[in-house]
Order: sequence, then C-alpha cells, then structure tokens
Amino acid sequence: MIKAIVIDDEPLAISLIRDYLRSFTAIELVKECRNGEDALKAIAEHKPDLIFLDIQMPKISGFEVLELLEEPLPLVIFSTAYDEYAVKAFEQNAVDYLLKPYSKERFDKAVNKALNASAGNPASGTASGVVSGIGSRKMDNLISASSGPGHQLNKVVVRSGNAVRIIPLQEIQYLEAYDDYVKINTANDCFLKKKTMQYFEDALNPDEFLRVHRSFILKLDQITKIEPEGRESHVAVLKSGTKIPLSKTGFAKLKQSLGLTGH
Amino acid sequence: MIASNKYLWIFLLFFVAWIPLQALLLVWYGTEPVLAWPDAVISNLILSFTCFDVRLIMRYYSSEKRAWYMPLLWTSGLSMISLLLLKFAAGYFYRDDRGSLYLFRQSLPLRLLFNFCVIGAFVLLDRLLYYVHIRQEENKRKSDLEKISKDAELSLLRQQLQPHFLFNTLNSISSLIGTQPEEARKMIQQLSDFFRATVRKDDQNFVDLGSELTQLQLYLDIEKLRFGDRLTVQIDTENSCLALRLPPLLLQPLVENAIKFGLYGTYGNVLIRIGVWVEKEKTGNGNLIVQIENPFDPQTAQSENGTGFGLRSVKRRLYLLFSRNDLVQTRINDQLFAVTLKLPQTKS
Repeated sequence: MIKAIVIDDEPLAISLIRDYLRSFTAIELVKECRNGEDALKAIAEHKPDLIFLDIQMPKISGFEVLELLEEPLPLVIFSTAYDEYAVKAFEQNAVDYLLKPYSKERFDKAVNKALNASAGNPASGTASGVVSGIGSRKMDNLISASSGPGHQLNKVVVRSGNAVRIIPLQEIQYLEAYDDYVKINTANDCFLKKKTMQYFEDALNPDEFLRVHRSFILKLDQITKIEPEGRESHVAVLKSGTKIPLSKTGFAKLKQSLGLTGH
Repeated sequence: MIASNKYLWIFLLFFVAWIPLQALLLVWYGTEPVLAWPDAVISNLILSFTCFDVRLIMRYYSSEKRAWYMPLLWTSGLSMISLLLLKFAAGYFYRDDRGSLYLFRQSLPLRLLFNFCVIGAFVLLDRLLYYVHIRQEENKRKSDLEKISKDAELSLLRQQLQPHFLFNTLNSISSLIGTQPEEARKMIQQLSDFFRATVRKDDQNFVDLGSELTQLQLYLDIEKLRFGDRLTVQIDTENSCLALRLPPLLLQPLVENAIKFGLYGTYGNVLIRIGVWVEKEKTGNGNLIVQIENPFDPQTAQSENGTGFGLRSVKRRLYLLFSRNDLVQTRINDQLFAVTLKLPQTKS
C-alpha cells in the first residue's frame, strides 16, 4: 500500500484529487492538508510515499515545504495553475507537474509514473516528456528564466523543531558556512538551513547581500566600518559589533559595492 | 514656471536698456545731465519692483478669481503708487535744481502713462504665460488620465483574466462536476456573468455603487466557493449609498488584494469586511467612503515587497480623476490592514 498526502489550500482541488484517486486501490490517502505547515507535520507523522503539492499556499510555498522536508523524501507530484515553475519543479526531482485544470487521463499518467518510481523503476520517474502541455518555445523561456540570475528570494524559511520559522530578509545580518549547512544570523537568533553558500549568493539580491569571504555573506546595510586586521587583511564590523573576515577579493568587491574604489 | 522666468530676465534687460535712453531723453528736454541719471535709475528701479510685486499679487489671485477688471485695477493702482514713490524720491534729488524739478512735474502725466503701459504689458505677459502653463498642465493631466484609466482597465482585465484565477476556478468546477453537478453549473454561471460584466465595461463614465457591488459579488461568490470555509466576506452598506457614483472597476483590485493578503498571509479563517458610508461635508455633495479590511500577519507581510499593484494603481487613478492625494488611506491596526477610499460626489 502506498501512502499519499494531498496539500492544497483549495478544498475543491483536494476533493478532485481524492475523487481521481478512487480508481487507484493501491494508494491510500492518509491526510489532506490546507497549508505547508500542516503538511510538514503530517509528512513527519505519516511518512507518506507520495505527496500532491500545490505551489501557492498560505505563508510558505510548495517549494519551501520541499526545502524543509527531511529524509526520506516522498515522491512529489506538483498540482498547480502556474506553468512558470515547471522547470524548477523538475530540478527538485518532481515526478510530474500537473497543470490545473487537468483531466483524469493526465492525472492517471502522473500517478502511474509515481507508482512505477516507487516500485523501484527510476527511469520512469524522470522528467522526460512530461512537460508536453507546455510548448517548446515556452520551455526555452522557462529554462533561460530559471538559469539566469534569480535574486527572487524574499524570505528564508527554516525549521525550528516542529515549527516553521519565516525569516524576512530585513532581519538577516549575515550568513555563515557551517559544514553542510548555512547559518543564518539575525539580531537575536541564528538558524541552520541545508543549502550551499553558492545557492544564497545566487538567490540574494547583490545590491543588498555580498559574499565577502568563502564562508561569509554580508548584508551591506549592516556594516558600520572596515578595519585592517593584521598586516594584509581586513574585517568588516557590523552594527552588532560582530567582526567578519574579508578575503582579498571580498574586500575588493565590498569596496566596489560601497563606492570606495576612488583611491 | 521656468519658462516664464526666462521672460522675466528679458523684462529686466529691458529696464537696464531703458535707463540710459530715459536719461538721454531727460537731458534732451533740458534736465541737468548730473540729475538725469539718478532720475532714470531710480524711476526704473521703482518700476521694476512694482512689476515684480504685481506678479506676486497676480499669482495670489491666480485662477479662482478671474474677474477681467482685476488686472486692470491692479495695474492702475500700482502705476499710481509707483509714481507717488518716484515723486517722493524726486523731492530729494531735484531739491537744488528748480528748473529740473519743474520739468519733472511737467512730465508726471507722461510718466504715469508710461508706467501704466509697462506694468500693463508685464501683467498681460504674466497672465499669458500663466494661462499657457495652466493649459499645458491640464492637457497633461487629461492625457495622463486617459492613458492611466485605459491602462488600469487593461491591467484589470488582464488581472481578472489572469490565467491562474481562471484555471483554479475551472479546476474547482472540474471537482464539483464529479460530486455536485448542480453546484458546478452554478459556478460556471457565476464565472460567465463575472467575465461578461468585466468585458462590457468599456467606458470611462462613473457607475453607481449598487452595480459595482453586484459585480463584486460575482467575483466574491467564486472566491468563496474556491476557498470554502476559510473565506468570509461581510459587506456593510446602507441603501442610501447605492446610488452614489464611483469610477468603474475601482473596488475589485482592492478586494482582490485584501483576499490575497488575507488568504496567503495567514493560516486561519479570513474575514474581509467592506464598509460603505457617506461622509457629509459643509460644502459639496459629501464623500462616499469605502473601507476594505483584511487580516494580515505583520511578520510575513513585511517580507512580501509587492504591497499590491492594485493599491498603487487605484491611488494614481483617483489622483488623476480628482487631483487629490488624500483619497486613499491605509491603516494597520494590530493584525488588520484597512484601505479607506474617499470618493467625492460631484453634481451629476
């Protein structure tokens, strides 16, 4: 028996999936959730094999739910009215991407793919040919949009215990590499997020955040001064008093960002 | 006003050029050359000061008091005053030369006429520039208004036709077909009515609140079906308000905004309250007040930087229609976000 959870903020969208799933006797719908936070709890509790995931939902999006999931990850079928996230969805190893409204046939195809994948047939779980609903020209646009500089991050979601914490970018002071994690430092707190420094460097607006060191990204408006440290190197002093080491290239980039290249 | 400042400089140049000419003229008529110069300088100084005064005064009278005789009255009055000032000054610099003083007295009517002409010309020029300026502003405002209302309507249409609203609604209908076919039919009907009414609104004329609320209700019914128990909308209005006028499709983007922020910014049930009432004023026909209130989470809301294209466009639209900036107010009260619109009622 395969356990499934449906996550969608619209009750009728949930009942449609419930309806469509009736013909799949091998799948048991164990829970229906109307927001991402409930979904995270339900997934932790039921450990489903398959989730149906909407993207635009209250407070945290479907993608942010995925970010916060812990291993083992369930198979994911996105179900959304937005076609512009398809590429990102497949980058997250989604089994399929259903565009609302979808037919029973299209739904069955997606679920069968998931069933195959869970039966240990990974080839069918890939993205090949699944975006047939999207024209190829559009697909090109999508790809170029997703590979270009993103900078569209406007908040960071992290897990603290069983709860979800949403950190607005304004609250962040600096980011620090921390083994496989990135440590996000705010005025009173710090949070760990399983991402790379490169991810944050790409996703954050470079006018506000700057990678000044292999292990540090600074929020520019937090800097009060730059001090020499030792013979050749420099540190940035933040409003909080924290000193952040600057690499040589980091120091040069910082000077440029702050408009100090005159001398 | 920069353009008119250029003309001011030309006028000033005229005074500077006129000084030696006047001095020569005075000498020609027999004034002592030593005295002709102070006469020319001082009389032109007084005249130019008067001209600038008249400019300030005319500004004050600007467009509201357009009586045709006002410029004439001010021109006459000021040319008299400038002459009196000159006469007073002349008493000093001509005190040792009776002949020149006599000549000065003789020239008074001529000088009055001259002052009148110069000040008059100045006033005329100033008025002219002012009206040109006003007209330009007005034209600009008008064309901006046309453009923006067209844009607003287009973007509204686009927003309403925004694929995801349509697709999500169709998905809901698809769901209802399996379980409650009657409800599905009803929803298709509502969706059609909503789009038909949106497409039909092609003119810029104001509509009455009653029909705007009916249109809004179509939209709200669909949203309520989509979001089920999470969404409640409460509309408080008095029958006396329903005939009042407002620009078409004005409330829709704000309500959409409110719903979006309410539903996507919080977890719980969302109550959107729309209040409508009349604010009486001493003059005029009073204002129609519409208030739209939605719950929001201050912590998450600050991370969403797009605080609503809807709100901005409504603000802009009202500014262009009424040339007032105070018609849209937003207020954050604990966990509630409220937009208040003030819609002046002009005579219909």
